[in-house]
Amino acid sequence: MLPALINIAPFKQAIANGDLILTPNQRLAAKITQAWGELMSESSNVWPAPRVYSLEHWLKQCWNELQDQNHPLTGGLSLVGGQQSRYYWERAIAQHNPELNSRYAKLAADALKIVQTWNLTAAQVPGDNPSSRQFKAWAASYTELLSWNKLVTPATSWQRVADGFVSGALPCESTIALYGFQSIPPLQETVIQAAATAVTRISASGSHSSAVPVSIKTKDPQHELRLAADWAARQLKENSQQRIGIVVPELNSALAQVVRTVEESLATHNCDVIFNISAGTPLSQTPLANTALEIIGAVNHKASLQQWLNLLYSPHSTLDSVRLSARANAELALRKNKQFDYSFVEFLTSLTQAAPASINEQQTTSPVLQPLIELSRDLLDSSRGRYSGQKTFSAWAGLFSTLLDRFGWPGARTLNSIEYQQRQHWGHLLEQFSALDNLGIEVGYSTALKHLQQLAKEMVFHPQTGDAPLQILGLLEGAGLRFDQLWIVDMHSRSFPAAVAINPLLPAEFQRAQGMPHSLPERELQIAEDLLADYKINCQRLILSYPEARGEEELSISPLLRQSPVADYAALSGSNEPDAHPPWLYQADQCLTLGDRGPRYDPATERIRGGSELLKNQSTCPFNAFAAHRLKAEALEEPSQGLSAMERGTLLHDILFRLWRDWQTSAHFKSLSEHQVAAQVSAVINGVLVELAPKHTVLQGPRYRGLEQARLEKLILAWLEKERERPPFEVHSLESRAQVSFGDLTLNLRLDRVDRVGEKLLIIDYKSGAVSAKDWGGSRPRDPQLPLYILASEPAANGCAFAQIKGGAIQFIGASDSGLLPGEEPGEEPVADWPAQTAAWSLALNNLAAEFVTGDASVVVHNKAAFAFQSHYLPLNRSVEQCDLAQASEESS
Amino acid sequence: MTQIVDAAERALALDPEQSFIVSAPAGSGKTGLITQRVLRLLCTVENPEQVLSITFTRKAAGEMASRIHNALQFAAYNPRPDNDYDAQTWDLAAQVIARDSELGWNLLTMPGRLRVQTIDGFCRYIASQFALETKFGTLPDTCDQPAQYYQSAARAVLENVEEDSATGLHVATLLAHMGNNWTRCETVLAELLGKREQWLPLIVDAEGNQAYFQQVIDDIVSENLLQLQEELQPIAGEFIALADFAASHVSPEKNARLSQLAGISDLPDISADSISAWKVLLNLLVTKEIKPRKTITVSEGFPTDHKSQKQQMLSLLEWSAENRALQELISNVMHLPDTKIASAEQTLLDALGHLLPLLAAELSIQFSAHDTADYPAITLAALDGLGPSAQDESISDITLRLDYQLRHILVDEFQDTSASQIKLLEQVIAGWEQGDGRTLFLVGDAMQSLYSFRNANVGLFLNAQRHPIGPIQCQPLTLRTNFRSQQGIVEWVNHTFAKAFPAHADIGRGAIPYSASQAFKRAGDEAAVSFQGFSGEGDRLAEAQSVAQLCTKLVAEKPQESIAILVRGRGHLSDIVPALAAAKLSWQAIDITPLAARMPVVDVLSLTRALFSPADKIAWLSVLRAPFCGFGLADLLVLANPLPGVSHPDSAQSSTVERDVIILSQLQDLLTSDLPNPLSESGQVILKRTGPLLVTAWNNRLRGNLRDTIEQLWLVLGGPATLSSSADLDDVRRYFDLLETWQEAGTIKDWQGFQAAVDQLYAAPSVDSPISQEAQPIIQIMTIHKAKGLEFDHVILPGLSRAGRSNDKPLLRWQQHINEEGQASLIMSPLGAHDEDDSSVYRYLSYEEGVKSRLENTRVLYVAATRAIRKLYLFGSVTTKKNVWQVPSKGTLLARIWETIEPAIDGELYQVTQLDDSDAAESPAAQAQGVNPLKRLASDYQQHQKVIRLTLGAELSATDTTLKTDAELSMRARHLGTLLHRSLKQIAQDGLQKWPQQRLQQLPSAWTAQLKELGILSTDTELSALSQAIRTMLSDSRGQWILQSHTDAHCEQALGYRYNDQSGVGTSVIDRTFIDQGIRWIIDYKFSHPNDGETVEQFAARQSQLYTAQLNHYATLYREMQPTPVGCALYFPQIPLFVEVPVE
Repeated sequence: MLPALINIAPFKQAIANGDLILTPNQRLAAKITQAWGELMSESSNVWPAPRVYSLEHWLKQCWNELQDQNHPLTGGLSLVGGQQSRYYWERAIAQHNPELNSRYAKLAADALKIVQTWNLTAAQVPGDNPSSRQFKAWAASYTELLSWNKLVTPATSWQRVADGFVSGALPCESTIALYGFQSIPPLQETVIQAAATAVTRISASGSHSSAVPVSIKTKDPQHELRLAADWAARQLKENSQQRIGIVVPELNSALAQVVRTVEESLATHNCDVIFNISAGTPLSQTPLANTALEIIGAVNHKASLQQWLNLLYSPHSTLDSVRLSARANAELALRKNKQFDYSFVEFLTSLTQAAPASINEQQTTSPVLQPLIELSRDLLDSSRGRYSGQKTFSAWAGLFSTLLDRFGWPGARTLNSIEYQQRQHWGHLLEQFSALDNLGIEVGYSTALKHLQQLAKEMVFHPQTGDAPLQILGLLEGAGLRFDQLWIVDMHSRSFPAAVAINPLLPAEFQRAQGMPHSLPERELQIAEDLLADYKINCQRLILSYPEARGEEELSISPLLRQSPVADYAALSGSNEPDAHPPWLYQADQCLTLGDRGPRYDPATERIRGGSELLKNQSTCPFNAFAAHRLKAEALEEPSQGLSAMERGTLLHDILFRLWRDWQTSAHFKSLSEHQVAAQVSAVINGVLVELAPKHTVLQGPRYRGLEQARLEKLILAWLEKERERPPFEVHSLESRAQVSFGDLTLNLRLDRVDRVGEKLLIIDYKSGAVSAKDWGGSRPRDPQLPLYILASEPAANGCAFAQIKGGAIQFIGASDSGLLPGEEPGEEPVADWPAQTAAWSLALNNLAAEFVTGDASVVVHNKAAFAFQSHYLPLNRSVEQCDLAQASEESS
Repeated sequence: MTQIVDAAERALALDPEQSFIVSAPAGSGKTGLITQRVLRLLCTVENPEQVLSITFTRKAAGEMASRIHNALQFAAYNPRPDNDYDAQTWDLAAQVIARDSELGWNLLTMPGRLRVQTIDGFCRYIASQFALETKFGTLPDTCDQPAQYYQSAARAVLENVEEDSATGLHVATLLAHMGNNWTRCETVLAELLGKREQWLPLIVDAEGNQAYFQQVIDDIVSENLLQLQEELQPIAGEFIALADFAASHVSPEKNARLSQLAGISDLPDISADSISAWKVLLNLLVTKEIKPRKTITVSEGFPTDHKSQKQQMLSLLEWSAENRALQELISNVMHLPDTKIASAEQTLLDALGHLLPLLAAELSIQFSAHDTADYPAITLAALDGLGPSAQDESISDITLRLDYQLRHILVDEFQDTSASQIKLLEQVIAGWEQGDGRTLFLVGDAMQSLYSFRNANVGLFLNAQRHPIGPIQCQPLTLRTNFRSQQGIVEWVNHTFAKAFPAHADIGRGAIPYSASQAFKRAGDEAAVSFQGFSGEGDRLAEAQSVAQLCTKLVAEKPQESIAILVRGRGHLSDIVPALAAAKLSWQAIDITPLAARMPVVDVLSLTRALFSPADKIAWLSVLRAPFCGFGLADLLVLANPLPGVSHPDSAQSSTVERDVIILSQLQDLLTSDLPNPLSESGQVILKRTGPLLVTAWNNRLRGNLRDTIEQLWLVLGGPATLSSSADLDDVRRYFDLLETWQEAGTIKDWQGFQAAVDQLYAAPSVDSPISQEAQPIIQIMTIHKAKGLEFDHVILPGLSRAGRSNDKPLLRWQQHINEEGQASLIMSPLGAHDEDDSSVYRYLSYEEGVKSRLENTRVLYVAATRAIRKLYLFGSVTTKKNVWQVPSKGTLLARIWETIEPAIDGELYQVTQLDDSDAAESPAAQAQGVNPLKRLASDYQQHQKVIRLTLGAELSATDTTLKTDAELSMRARHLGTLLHRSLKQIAQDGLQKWPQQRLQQLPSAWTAQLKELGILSTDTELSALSQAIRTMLSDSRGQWILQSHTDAHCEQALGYRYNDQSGVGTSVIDRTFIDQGIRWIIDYKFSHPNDGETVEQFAARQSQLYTAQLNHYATLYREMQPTPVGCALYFPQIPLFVEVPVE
């Protein structure tokens, strides 16, 4: 059996006398009871439980007793609870400063608590600076609110308790014994003095000589923790029947890291013990409760894409029973909409479309989703008012539970023991939440949710474990406990003794004059010294460590440790320092480097997508073309507001398509008056925008659509000026489809427009972005679109051009055999040998196509700029390691 | 000992009565000086907290604190040293120690009382002290990745577009200007938020003030013209005469504007209206490209036949060309905007004047909603709270309201302090008076100001030398001794940078002239500075090899001396690092390689993304292709396309929605189906090994910490066996550590922020070395910014001819303008509309930006050069044209000192190697057509013993989950029961006689209060039920018997006991017990009722059975203590019912 965590010997007398023993926290009280029980159980089976309580617990018991007596001192008043108190503070502050947010409630509550426990009232705080003046006003309103509601603060109740002892309403103790206190505030001190004839202090010293602490310097906090954990694991490996402690002052903020480091060390040493850790996580931070809160939060409001996705894939709801591929496709569908936020109905729609019922079923929707659809109806149906209006907290608690039930929370997956405990905590949370009924108010959905979230943030989840030889504790929590060996980390000069930190609502001078907490350096020094002394007498071996640096910041040893002998790790642990990582992570590179190539493309078995884009990608980087067109890997779409470049391109195409479908020839176009052209353009643009509006929420607003209309009118009219300059033409085809084949590869193309100029054909492609004439030359054309069109045109075209229609850049860029384009400057000759040019294009494109067909997926970058635009493929094409690998395989061969 | 030339200044700087602003050039020992002054000041204050030192970085704060503390320690425990300087410090420290013990400071045990803060920490400190004024309440933590909040705020502002309000119209104006491009608008607004510290304090003046921006521009124009006018004064008369001559001789057709000046008799006035006249005049002195004119012709109005005027003009030109200051001024004036702000531009400016404050307010809302803030938010809130308007009443002296009254403030690196930080400082000391014993001590080096991108404005340093900060005028002091570098370097720096820095100070642009230093150390034996240039193809590779050779040589010859390679941009190392590797040197690259560029890190990131979203196909394919899986392309092709033979209900049905293949589903299908496996043989092996692991990890997602989930998956997949070095392991674990800090509730809620945080991490500075550390000195590689404040024996500066990153045209340019009086105003101009040219103000601001960035380049190079103790090596590429060295392009560092380098090329120290074209670098290793190297875990890969035991979150034994709570109901019942227990205990303790009817009647009011504490607003029914129970019990004879006084009676008695079957102890609490007629009675109160249709007898039997075990346990406890026979019973007060339960 493990030795007790308390040195019980000094308590014997007090317990035998039946003295009341008070401790600073409940944990310590429980350990004393436990240790006493262990001592007693050596000789007997049953014994009267000792009277050991934490100070606050005892004060509450005294207050209860006054209430049970129905004593006039209680005056029919109730203690104000935490969340309740915050509510009244917020109201009190809002009475004076409606512009201030709720963050002041805590500051003010803390300030009042200090003042009251210092046996003062808010009125006694000097009011010569604005903050304290304001605080006094708030506190007055707060106190008034409390008295209207027949409430008192805990500190006030303690004053009444003191009065109770003085007046004899409460029976006095003969002796109160105190254990483990660093300091006791004046008010509590008053109560204790009033309650007892004698007050004694129990000290753990005397049983054995106190430890001589040694200090040890470490590189940084991670290194420090690793040493402490490694040391603890070694000690326990040697003897698992001893009490080892690791004290981590900043335990709450480093919890995950501490747990992992300790687990890694225990595993490293094959040490099969468990450990207790005194910190927990807020319930809201546990997956199960988090999902519940997200469900309640999301269904009644619009929620962000990320929140919906979290729910979509959470194992803690009925959605987990929807087929995975359907859920993933629902994600893709949601992303396609590009919205930032979605309503519950929008979310469900994407899901029902992606997950229709299986063929055999009659219903249109998958049965899994049925309760959710009903739920969404309930939520929307305000006439029935189930989820709307003002209700009590307990009513909301019931509704939220129903809502979660409908959602299938906590899911069909079997809960493990931790999840089971979280589930239970959720029940406690709802109880606490229902208890807000004592505010006597009714609230709406969002306010109810806000309170629930706040409570969940404050409720600590602490998984239960049995008694363990290794204890990991915060700085104050370890005080008073007995260890065989103890290691305290982070003992550097900045944190030990602690720096002063005053409450900003109270005047600094006042706090210092009263000796209030954290206001005096001397006090902090005293507390640190006492704490250290307490640790020393409670263990046989004490190791104090500090990190030399934290990030870029250099740290030095706490001055309180300067006298301690310096230890080195090897001497302490009898072994070298542990490696930076657990040993199982150090593995030899067991990889081979092979040659890999893509399989040949076979049109019979493989469907591919993509027209001219395919060859363009192939030209940029063969691997990326393979990824895009054969693996069909695409980047996930991210939310964005407004029209994308691609959508704007489509708009432009649509408008010009309609205009030229109507006009057909340059002669007709030129016959129109300026006014007529403008009117027609305006009407067409309006038509297109109105048609598009249902798909794009942003176009539904008249002002934004007006702006877009104006922009497009200006742009199109400017472009039409360019068209006006051209030699006479008629439109030969619009949006015509064409196919072009290169061996096994057939590409489907769509030609924006083909014009007949005299006897010749000119292919025109609209571009709303940047274009360059250089892009279609060379053996590896960067943008093979126009050459492709030439090859695909039937009958063969005599020229091709990009029509660049971009604000500030409106021009034809193209090539033809006979000057078909306007603005072909006198110096710029038509292509001298058109057949040779088309032959060269044909060759280049055939080569690219052949590369694609053979499965060439090499990671070679031919077009750096375009490759940079495809950075989403970097994790897949692994281009950053290609060089190394090529070298490696060279060296090995 | 060498004489210290500035000893007098250094002595004066310790005067505790005076405020100073100290210029402390590189190596001048400013930290030592600050330390001494702090010690000196400590001797004059009541509390050590009254002296506050402010530094720029945490690192510097730590150093400063330990310098002071060490000085105190040294003086406390060591004798006075001989060395003069150290003795001086010792004396000061000894005095502090004396005062310490006199006043009981305990500084030696509480070094934390020495206040040393970073500038951000200072702002936070002030904000936290003024909780009320900042409107923050409890200060939120600052976040490192605020970008997403900027984005949301920008979007929120734009979303007003449809509003029928001024805001809506202004948003429309902005959108129209940007070509209605929403995304771009959002981006520009978000970018602006990152710099709001610069414009926010100023923009308020601009809102609704049509004329504001025009006025600022006019002021700038006048200011520049005034300077020019002054500079031209010596030749003004002569110049005007010649201009008049030219105007009357030029042909009006050729140069109408010049000819209009005919009859001019004086320089034009300095108002903005005259700017075009000025430009015409100046065109006589400079060419179109704004280069000094070398000749003058008939086109400028000087016909060949007027020799004397022409000669006169030529000598004027010569004078002007040699006057650097004049040339700078001319260039500035020629770039000044010469048109009035157009109405369209004004409309947009009005829109911005309205929208930007709104934007900042929207950001505050975002921050507040997420309980976070960025650094500027804290500073700005403090500024706002302490601003003149907020100080309505009695706070004349803010420092009186701080926790300790500040009496002395010292600021280090003052040149990098931003305007708003200085403004905050001003407000803090607003209540001080010159000479009241409170002082400022500002230290910095304007020549080392590098942080314009972080809102630093070196002009503010100059400003503080001339104008007071708040009420305090600081006396300027300049240190001149350089304790760091040897004489050769100091002299070279003096010589070179006197020319490279501008001739005149200019507060607006942050131009500062050079101030020379004097070396404390003697010159070394060899030349201090060398330049090696390369010309021709392959210059960069040649440079890299040359750097590597130099390092090899230094390492061999001077193993005791430190070496650093400093670069401006990380990209400049791309050739050098491989060259060092090839030379088998060891180096340590600090913050050079982005973590996200390391493939092993990319792979774990893909793993994280994959588990986040099964729809992320790229992530899933990347996982499958990563070495720990290693599927080949053929297998990827199979997995990425619909599997043959597997029928999918969803693909079979609707044809309207096209469905994407979900890789994870495919893996699940392959693992569970009996169909022939379409994968290659090796693919099947891989699937068998990795598929179940991926599926299990998915099935157990959200169990525990996300880091553990991903790391363990990576482990079981064999991740560690795919790493090629321990540096890789460090990197991957750094990624996991980051994941650990970002995970919330087993997931990542802010994915964008996390991605940004990953992108900002750099690979650990692990030594990539084939040889052990001791054997070889390590070459430090870092950026010049990072090297600030450090020193090295040998400093190598490669890539001096590489230009900095050229910025895209921002959508908005602005500039904080500080006039000669030190007043700040804002000038702002948007990029031209998407389809129009930029305005002249915008072009002016572009020019100004260029000037400023070149000034900063000079400072960057100065910082780099002054890191050297012994020797400085410069490298760069140069080009020739017709055997003439070409001036390097403007944006390069080399251009800044080209004046010094060029004349001496081919001398002993400055050399250029001409590279043949044939030397061009060999092409990279050719790759066989279409074949990719694929790294894959070997099939005989051995997993580590430890790893095999990992379960990926799968619980070996699951718990029963049949748990159903009806929270509300059970809670009420439970609490009512508790109350009844309490009342019964009280009655039993007091004795029945003490509870007359009257007292009983008061109970409900007490219960109401008690229930309220428990969270229940009681109903009358509940209260009367409780009352009824008590009354019933009191009128029941059994009930009276239970409550009356007995021998050895107890209520709620707590007994400790030992578990009989196992070790361990527990505690039981017994409701009521007493001895009556020799029997120890144990009674448990219960508050249940018979069910409907249940008789009392049936009920009694059921309850009795239910509680037999519990009562048996109690009985055992009492039997252990006393031999008295035991009787056990349940008592139901509401009924009333007494059920005796037989026990063993």
